[in-house]
This record gives sequence, C-alpha cells and structure tokens, in this order.
Amino acid sequence: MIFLIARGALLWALLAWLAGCASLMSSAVEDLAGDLSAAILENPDVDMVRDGAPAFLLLIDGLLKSNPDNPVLLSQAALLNSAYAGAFVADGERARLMAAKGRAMAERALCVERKENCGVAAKPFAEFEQWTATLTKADVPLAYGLATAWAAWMQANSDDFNAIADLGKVKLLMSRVAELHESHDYGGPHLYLGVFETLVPPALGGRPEVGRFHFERALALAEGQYLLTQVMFAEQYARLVFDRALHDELLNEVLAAEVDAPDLILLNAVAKRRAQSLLDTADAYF
Amino acid sequence: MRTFSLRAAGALLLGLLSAVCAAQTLKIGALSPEGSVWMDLLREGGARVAAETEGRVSFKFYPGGVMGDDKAVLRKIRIGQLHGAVVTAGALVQTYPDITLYNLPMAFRSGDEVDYVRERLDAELLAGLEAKGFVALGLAEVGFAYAMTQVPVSGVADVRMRKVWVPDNDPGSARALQAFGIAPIPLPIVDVLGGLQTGLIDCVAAPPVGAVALQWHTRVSHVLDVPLIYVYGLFALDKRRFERLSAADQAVVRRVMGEVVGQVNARSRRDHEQASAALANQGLEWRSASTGEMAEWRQLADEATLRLVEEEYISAGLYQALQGHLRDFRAGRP
Repeated sequence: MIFLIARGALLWALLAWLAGCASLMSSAVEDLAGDLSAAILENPDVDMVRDGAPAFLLLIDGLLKSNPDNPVLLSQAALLNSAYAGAFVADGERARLMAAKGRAMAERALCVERKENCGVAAKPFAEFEQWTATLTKADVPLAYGLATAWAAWMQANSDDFNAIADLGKVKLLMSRVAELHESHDYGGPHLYLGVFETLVPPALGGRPEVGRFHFERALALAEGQYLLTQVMFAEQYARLVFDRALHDELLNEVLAAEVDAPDLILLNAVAKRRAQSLLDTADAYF
Repeated sequence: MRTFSLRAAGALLLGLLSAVCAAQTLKIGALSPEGSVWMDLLREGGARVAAETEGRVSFKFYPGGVMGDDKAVLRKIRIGQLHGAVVTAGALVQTYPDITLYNLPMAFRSGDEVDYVRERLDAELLAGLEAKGFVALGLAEVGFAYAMTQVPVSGVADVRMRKVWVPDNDPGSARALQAFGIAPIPLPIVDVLGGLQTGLIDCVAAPPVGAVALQWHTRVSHVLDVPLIYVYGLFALDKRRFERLSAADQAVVRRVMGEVVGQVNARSRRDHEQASAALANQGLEWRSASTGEMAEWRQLADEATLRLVEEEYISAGLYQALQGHLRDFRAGRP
C-alpha cells in the first residue's frame, strides 16, 4: 500500500515535471524538502544526523537552484543551515559561513513573500521597528524563521560587535512574533526571549527576572514536550543567578522525561545530551 | 590488628586533611558574564594554574555580578569570603586613589598615547596597589568613553543642554561630568535603555563596546568623536591570601594570570575598534568637534584635572610623570 502511494507520488511528480507546471513542481519539491526535514527531526540518532545531514543540505541547495523563489523551501533551508551550524559545526569559520547562508535564505524567504519585507534587516532601528508593527499572524512562520536564523548567525559571530549590535532588532522581531502567536513552535518565541533577557547579568543592566518569565511561559506552552526549554532555562537563567537547586531540578527532569512528539525527537535527544553535560560541570561552576 | 588498622585509618585521614589544607581555592568575583572573553580566558588560566601547581592552587569564579557590585565584592574580600575580583579601576579608588590615574578626563587623545604611557607607568601603579594590599595581575583596557546623543552635538555647550546619564553608584563619573559644567541625571544602569526611550535622558557617555552590548545604540543617533575618559579594569587578588601560597605557586599565578590579563587587554583594543565601526554600520553618525570646540573641551578637562591633583586625589608625582610621558610622545610625533 505504502509502495503504491509512493509510486503514485512519484508518478505525480514526474507528470508535473513533464508538464513543466511550476506550481505543481514547487509543491512536490516542498513536499520532498518537508519530508526530508521531518526525517531528520524525527531521528533520535544525533551522531547519524550530524554525519548525514550535510548531504541533505547539499540536496536542498540543488532544489533551490531550480526554485530560487520558493519561500517554503527557502525557510526550510534557512532553518536547517542555521540549526546545523549552531549544533554541529565546531569550526568557527565554517559555522559562520553556514549561519550567514541560513540568515540570507530566511531574509529572502520573507522578501519573495512580500516586497515590503525586502532588505528590512539592514534598516535603521526605528524603521525596522515600524516594519515589525506591520506584521500579521500570517507572517509568523517566516518572521520567526528570520528571527531564529538571525539569532543563530549572531551566535556564530558572538565575538563580532557588528553581530552583537543586531540583538536589539532580533529581540524586537521575536517579541512581535510572541505577540502575534506565542505558542508557535512549542512556545519557541518565549524560549528565545528568555535567552535574550539572560545574556547580561543584572549588575550590567540585564533583567534575568524578565528572562525567567519568558522561560516559564515557554515551559507552559511546550507542555513538557520540548526539552530544550528546561535546558536553556537551567543554562541561561539558573546559572546566571546561581540557583543550583533550580538548575539541577530542571535538568534532572529532562533526563527523566519520556516524551514522544515526533518532530522533536532529534532536538530532545540533543537536549538530553546537553542536560547531562551541564549536570556534569555543575560542581565546578557553582 | 585492630589497633593497626585504626592507626592506619588515622594516618590516612591526617594525610587527607593535610592535602585538603595544602590545596588553596581562590574565589574570585567578577561582573563579566559567563561566556564573555574575560570569563573564558580566566577559566582557561585557572585550569592552567591548577595543572601547573598540581592542584595546590585552583580558582573558583563567580561571574555576572552574582557576588554583588564592585562595592559588595570588595567588602566580601575584606571579610575573607572572596579572595579576588575583576573590577573597574574606579572600584579601588578608596584603597588606592592613584589606580584611577588614567581615568583623568581626556588624559589621552589616542590608543597610541595610551600604549606609550602604560608601558612606562603600569608597573608603578601596580606596585602602589600592592603596597595597599592587592596583588593586581595587570590592567585591562575597556576603551574610551564617548558622548552618544539623540541630536548632533559637538561643543561643550551643546552637551550641557542635554539630559546626560551618569551611573547612580559612580560619584567619580558624576564629578568628571560636573567638571564640564554638565549636570548629569543619576540612574541605575538597568534603566538606561528605557530612559533613552522615554526621553528621561538623551545622552550617555559610554565605551562603544558597552553601548553595543547593552543595545543603547538603538536609541541614540550621534557619537561625539571626543575621547572623554579612558576606561579600564583589573584582576586583583587579596595580598594576605596570595602570600599564603608558596613562592613557587605565587610565581605560577603571577605568570599565568598575568598572561590572561594581557590577552584580555590586547583583545579589548580590537573589540573597541570593531564596536566603534559597528556603531557607524548601525547608522550612527560620528561627529568631530571643531578646533575651537576641542580646545574648550581640553581646557575644561585640564582645569578639572588640576583640581584633582590639588585636592591630592591623584598624587602630584604620578600626574607629572603622566604629563611628562605624554609630552615626550607628542613631541616625537608632532
């Protein structure tokens, strides 16, 4: 049965290809990219994904060659490039290149969607602020895609003040996304805002309690499914304010958790690894 | 048999105890957040010290101001709860006022001048601080602070009309601003971004690295290209505690942690330049003062400096040494 469906899909794609119909073609490509992304995200074997994903990233580059203006494909590619750079690429220069590529793709995805979105990232802060006010709920996936890819780019360039200078814009964009649809991506907007608000200690003007509010909101929205929430809460907030009890409690909860959201299998496996390594280094830190 | 094993256990216990007593953990408070260059390099240095002293000396760091602000950290050092700190020079002004020598308003005109003078005077300042009970393992630059505003300014009179922020716990900076006839508005650092947004303040004097890290650049549009004050920090250890280490271990700490501070210092110049460029890339306009305006800034700064020397806030000998080196440098490169 599965075989038949697969053959049917293949036949469809082939027909569409032969017919040269752009819209059908792009939707088949979107499906393929979507299925492959899902296959990656549903894989519990972190090492296998680390070793295998580059091939998929090259494949998606190939698909983009013939569909350069497909926003769905662009945002998938942006997400995977940024996430891969952040999670797996140890070499600084390579990580920077991949993250820059991811960010450019996310910007392009928004731009092909609506021409008012083109070039917004480079605009002065006040104009950027006006632009974020024009976003609607329909823009959330692409706007969130840009905010996350941009954050990943900043992380890859965290020793470059030109990148650090963008934090205000990324934070603003993420706040707008949270305002429009806070439960998007298992509460991801609040998770990111929690991280942004805990980058600076209070003595230097940071507001960790605002960060804590966002982490707690993200926890409520994720309903325990997205374990990176607890991990970031512990790593960013609990370590910043030296709350060992909270730190260990959150991380032990991650290690004990048995969750089954299929699209979070990979990320939750990553989260468990990170939780263990944070617990292992806790004695030295606290 | 029983006696023997008890004795053996006692010996083992004693052995353990003496090993524990011999191992020294130096607890260090810092404002720098985890993941910053300072903290990364300090942790790396701490690991090197532990390895080279075979575990006799180790460091435990408390980053991100978790031990409180500069004042609280120094108090904890006095009561022995902490053994050292990474602080700005101003934090040690009560202990040894001369440590703020390079903070004198507009003392330097460029990074090259700073390098020339520091090469010749750092050692004297560090020796002075050590005589007052702190072993400092070098000074580390933060960078020059500049006035950043929401409207273009260039002369002293322009800035006097602005609502200028000063940290609420920093009388030194307040005094420096008052020297220019500026009446600053004291606010906690956490309220600066909000204050710029609501118009409570419309001017901050800050090093570019600070302005970028705290995103103040999103709420100002102009930077006045007049280096108002040279900001720097240091890594200081409580001398009483330091002297409990063996001479050989002291030497290891001095060498390794001295290198760390040197690395931070070298990195800072690059960061300062990069952050200054980032401000321009973000659309801020760097504006120069005219020759006449610059002369007025410098005249007021000189008057303020002389007052500080007359009040013996800064010792005359060091002030003259600073001036002498600056004269030599400026004569060498007219």
